[in-house]
Amino acid sequence: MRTTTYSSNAVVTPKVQIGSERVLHTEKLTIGYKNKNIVRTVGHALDLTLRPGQFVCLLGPNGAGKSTLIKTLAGIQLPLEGKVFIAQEDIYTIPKNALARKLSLVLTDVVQTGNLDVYTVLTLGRYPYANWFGTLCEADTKIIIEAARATGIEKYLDKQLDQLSDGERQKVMITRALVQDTPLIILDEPTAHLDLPSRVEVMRLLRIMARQTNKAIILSTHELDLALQAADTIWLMMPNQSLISGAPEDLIINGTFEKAFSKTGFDFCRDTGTFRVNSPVEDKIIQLTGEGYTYFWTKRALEREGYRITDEAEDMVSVQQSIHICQWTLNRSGVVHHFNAVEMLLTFLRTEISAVINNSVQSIIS
Amino acid sequence: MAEHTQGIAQQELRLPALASRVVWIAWMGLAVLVLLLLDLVLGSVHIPLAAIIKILTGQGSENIAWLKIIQNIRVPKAFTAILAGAALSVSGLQMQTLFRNPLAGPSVLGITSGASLGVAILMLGSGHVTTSFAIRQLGIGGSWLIVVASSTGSAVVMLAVIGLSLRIRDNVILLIMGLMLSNLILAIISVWQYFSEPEQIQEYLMWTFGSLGGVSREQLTVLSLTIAVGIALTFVSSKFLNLLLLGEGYAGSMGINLRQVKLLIIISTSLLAGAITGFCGPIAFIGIAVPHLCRAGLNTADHRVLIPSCCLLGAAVMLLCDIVAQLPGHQGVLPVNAVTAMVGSPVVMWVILKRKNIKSSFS
Repeated sequence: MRTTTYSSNAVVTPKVQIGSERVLHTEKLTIGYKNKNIVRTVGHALDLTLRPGQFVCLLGPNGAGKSTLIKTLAGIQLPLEGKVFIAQEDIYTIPKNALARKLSLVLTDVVQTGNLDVYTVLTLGRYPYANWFGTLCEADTKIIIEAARATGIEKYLDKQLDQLSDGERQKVMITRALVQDTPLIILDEPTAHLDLPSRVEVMRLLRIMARQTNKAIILSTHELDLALQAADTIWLMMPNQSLISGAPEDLIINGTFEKAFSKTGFDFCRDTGTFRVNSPVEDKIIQLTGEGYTYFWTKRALEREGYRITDEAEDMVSVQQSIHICQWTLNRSGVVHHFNAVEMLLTFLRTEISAVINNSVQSIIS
Repeated sequence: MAEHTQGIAQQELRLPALASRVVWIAWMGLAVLVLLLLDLVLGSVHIPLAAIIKILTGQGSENIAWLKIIQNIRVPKAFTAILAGAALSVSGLQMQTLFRNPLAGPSVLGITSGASLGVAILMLGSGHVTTSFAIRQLGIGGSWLIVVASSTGSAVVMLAVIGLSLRIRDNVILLIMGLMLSNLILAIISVWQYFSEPEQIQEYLMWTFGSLGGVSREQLTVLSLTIAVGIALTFVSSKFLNLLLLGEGYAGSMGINLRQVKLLIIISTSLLAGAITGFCGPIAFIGIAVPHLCRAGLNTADHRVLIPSCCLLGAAVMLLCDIVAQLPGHQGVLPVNAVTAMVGSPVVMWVILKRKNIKSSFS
């Protein structure tokens, strides 16, 4: 993956950091949908605020209403109650064409239209500013080329969309949103169909875009890990139809994440900000000493084996790391074993139990 | 379209080349001219090219029969071919973009059968002999009636298909529904035919074969006005059609009112396909094949390029079909619908095999 740098002569020159004025705010917003007199509310009395340059990631368990909130904020779906304001204007009173200059959208599904080159897609981003025939002026062309440079897609301006990878196509759609030059960009799970490197790159790109262009960006995603790293603010949709907003770290420290995902049956780990795949088995405890990433990954391996790491355990694994070599030492009831790899340690631990049983059987016989 | 190459001198940037597209469109224009002349020259009666040019430039001819043949038969027929080719191709292009479906076209989604039904209802209601051939005898007023009836029929079916497309996201299922709708309408017409006189049935069958020759000079005025309005509306919506290439979700976020745009597309498609079907009968394949040929040849999806090139290529292909239909050197005339299918279906197959174009035209 190439690294993307956002040039300083980008579409909008950097202004202040996260500003004081509001790009978007909601008042007592209740969202949901009506289906034949059955009203299903997914969010209740939400008061949200978004400021210029702020990169917000919207997270929540499946069915919590992320998609409904995104649609309501983008003006696609009507709220059940309350209002959405874009730059102090009620979103539903803004004519479509004017709204297209205030808000741009990137959707989940990757566009795959054939015979459509990247440059033409980007020109579509200028249509809200163009005449009825879509004629562009030189300033438009300049904006398009600068945006393409900024997102690193200038190499394939003449390529057809169907010659690109999904990740590249989604970057084209993000560039198109940038070309649309709106103070607010809303992205509805843009990374859902992408591979891991593309996801990382899209998140990094958006983070840099928010900072450098002072645009406010909202992104809904399932990528907890990336969102926690990249977002200024997390909007976390809770099972009780409320939404908690805060810095990612605050939401981890005060346990909001655990609450939000408690019903999913997964175990959110505050130490790492990830979901635990492996829950510890009651009687398997072990002590671990060491430093740095070798300590971290050894801990992960032991946890996968079902061990709970605690200082109270008698058995102890210690990791020694020098520049060239790592060594794992298991001190078990005074007997010391040395290993050169995690796998060897784990293999030993797995076979050890049966070995112990064999030993005790032998001692009884003798 | 100069904005692609103009402006900032960016050596390392490779923007899509446009020069080749201009050349292509120029060739298409030339092809239309050549085929138009050929269409006028070839026919069951041999008339020398020099005499034809004399008649066309208004110098008349000493041979009254030649004058009549050119003025009253060959010129209206050739211009009907041009109008039919352009109108059907442009309406097919719009439908393919609107439904994001490479196999959409006026004949596939039941738009032409809607037009037939409109014509049929008009005749039942007016109590005249129940074929469109008979209605042509009503003169200018009747011509407008045909346009109104057939376009309304098309619009009703188009609305029904759009209604279905809101519920059905799957392209293939939508196509099947369109085909079923088309069959249903044709069945209604068949039942009605069953209760009609034998000579009416014969005339109806002739109409379903498709004919470019049944349009008089007066009716040609009505037809060309209608087609001009339809194509003008398409030009007006070219920006919206371009936005629809990204899907309705994106199009809506980029400042277009989807409802108004759809209405605009329905009106222009119904005018174009409806009027041609009313006057010439159902002509298949042109509406599907020509837009694909244009996309493949010009390698673009930009409707500002595709609309004029579809007009030109559609006209050229239709003129070619008309020339083939006359079986140069023979007395008889083949039904034009058979010829368009013979020309159109191999072209569609070739395009699919060669470019895998149809598959990738829309997601």
